[in-house]
Amino acid sequence: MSDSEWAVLARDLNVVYGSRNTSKKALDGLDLSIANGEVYAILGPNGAGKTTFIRVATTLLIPTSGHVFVEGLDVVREAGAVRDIIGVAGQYATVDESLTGQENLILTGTLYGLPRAERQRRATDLLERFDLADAAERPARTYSGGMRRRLDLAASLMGDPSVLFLDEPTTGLDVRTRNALWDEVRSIAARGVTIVLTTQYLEEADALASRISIIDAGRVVVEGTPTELKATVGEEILILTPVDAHALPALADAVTGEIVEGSVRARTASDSVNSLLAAAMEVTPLAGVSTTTASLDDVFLTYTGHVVEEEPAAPEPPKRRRGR
Amino acid sequence: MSTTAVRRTSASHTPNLGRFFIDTFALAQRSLAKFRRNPQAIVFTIVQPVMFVLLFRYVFGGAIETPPGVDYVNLLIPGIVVQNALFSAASASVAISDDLASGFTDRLRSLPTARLAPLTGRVVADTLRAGLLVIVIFLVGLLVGFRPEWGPGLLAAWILLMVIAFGFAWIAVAIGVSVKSPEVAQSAGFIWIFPLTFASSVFVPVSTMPDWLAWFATINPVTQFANATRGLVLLGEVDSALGWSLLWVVGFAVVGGALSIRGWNRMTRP
Repeated sequence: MSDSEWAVLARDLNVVYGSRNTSKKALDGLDLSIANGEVYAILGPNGAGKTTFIRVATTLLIPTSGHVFVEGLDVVREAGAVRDIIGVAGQYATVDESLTGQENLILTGTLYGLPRAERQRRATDLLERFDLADAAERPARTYSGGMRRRLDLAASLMGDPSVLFLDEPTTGLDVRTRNALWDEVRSIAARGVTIVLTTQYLEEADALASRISIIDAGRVVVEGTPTELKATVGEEILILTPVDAHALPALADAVTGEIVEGSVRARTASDSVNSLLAAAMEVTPLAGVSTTTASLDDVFLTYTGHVVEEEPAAPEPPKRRRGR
Repeated sequence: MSTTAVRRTSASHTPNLGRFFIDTFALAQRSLAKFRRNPQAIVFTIVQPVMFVLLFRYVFGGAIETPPGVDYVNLLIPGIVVQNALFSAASASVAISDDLASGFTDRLRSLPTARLAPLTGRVVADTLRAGLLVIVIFLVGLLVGFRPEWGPGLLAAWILLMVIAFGFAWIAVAIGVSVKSPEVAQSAGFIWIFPLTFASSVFVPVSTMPDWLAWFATINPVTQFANATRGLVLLGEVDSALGWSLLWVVGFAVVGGALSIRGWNRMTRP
């Protein structure tokens, strides 16, 4: 595939926030290649650099070094042209609360430079498509959380983008609303739009993406299809608790697992549960055995050797500040 | 690296004056719609100046010395419209800061919008709002005994007040893009109005102030604004205060505009 066929290319992308003394690397040599027409998920914990990457790719932030190309256009040097072909929807639904759904879309259409008739037509279509036609005349402040996200998504499509960026589109939504939004994302993808989405949820990446990149501390840790990633970790994780805590390292060695809070987590991908248990019991008596479904934690554990930090260790840099 | 990807034909990213005006107008309309649909904001925007008019007309007015033959209410109303033109302008700080905090600005900046339209749209909206507020206060003034010189001076004063609001709105925008939160914008955006309007000829004659304050009040641009407005509405006359006022306004617009644009462009820096 030649470079120009990629919808989004990131090359050695670095973003350093703050001054020399208090600097924080948000992106640390990030490389990504996202093909035209695919749904690509960037998976990572808080502070991994997901939002920073989206901000660079959508021309909101100029990187410290490195390049991003969207449809072959440089997001720094050709920012204006990039803005013509992208759509952005985010974690925070960025609609104007006091405008109606319809007015929000019309305003966005105006700002995309669409002629009056065209913005009317698209707004009507999108309101219909996102099941907002009945609420079109109501101020967005009266919308439910799910309706706002749908309106936000509709607004991001007003410019008929060829690449759509979704920054944590379902964070904070309940399961039903989230599933409905997933359906919307699938239907957008079915129309041939390249979708780049960030998420903290393995499940979401699994449900939507054709390829997933796991990023941690500003760089790509592993990339692959959901099946490939799961295969490397295994569907199930075996949690082994030894009677004697001193046996933890030996136990971890025996089953090639990682020690987490007094237990060893072992992947079931390469060995059967039976053989893992046999290997474990040869080393030390077990006080407890349980299984759990493979999660983002386990994929992380496998590729980074550490668990996803529970505390929001390094919050995403503020959306808008210099000198930090 | 090849950049021959499928590129849409669109000229909207080239600087284009037509697009600039369309986007500015669309965003000004949005700001005004926001205001129109917020009954609380409307009520408080109007109640506050009306309260000032009544307080100074009936409570303090009797105690304030005026030149012989001049009714205090005739000095007061042209002063209060100046104060409120500044208040209108100042609300840009909070509005800009709110949009930044909510992420709405991010959406705007990811669109092929004219780069500065979010700022100019705001300034235009606040200028027009100031124009409206001035008319409301003028009418309230008439009810409590204000008697202007009917003539073209009134129209000139109305335009002057909007020009003043325009200049100060740029200072307010500069504050809005530099502060870290809407809460800070709320105080930083308004606090300067009080010393500036009270230590001026808006409410009391400068001659009644202690020397050091009178010195400040005399050079205070708000004194020039109030005096220029009085000249126009009471006498239908243009005096030197009008010239000074316009100079000040140009100064504020240029400095505020430059700081606003600098702050705006810096947002793309990590």
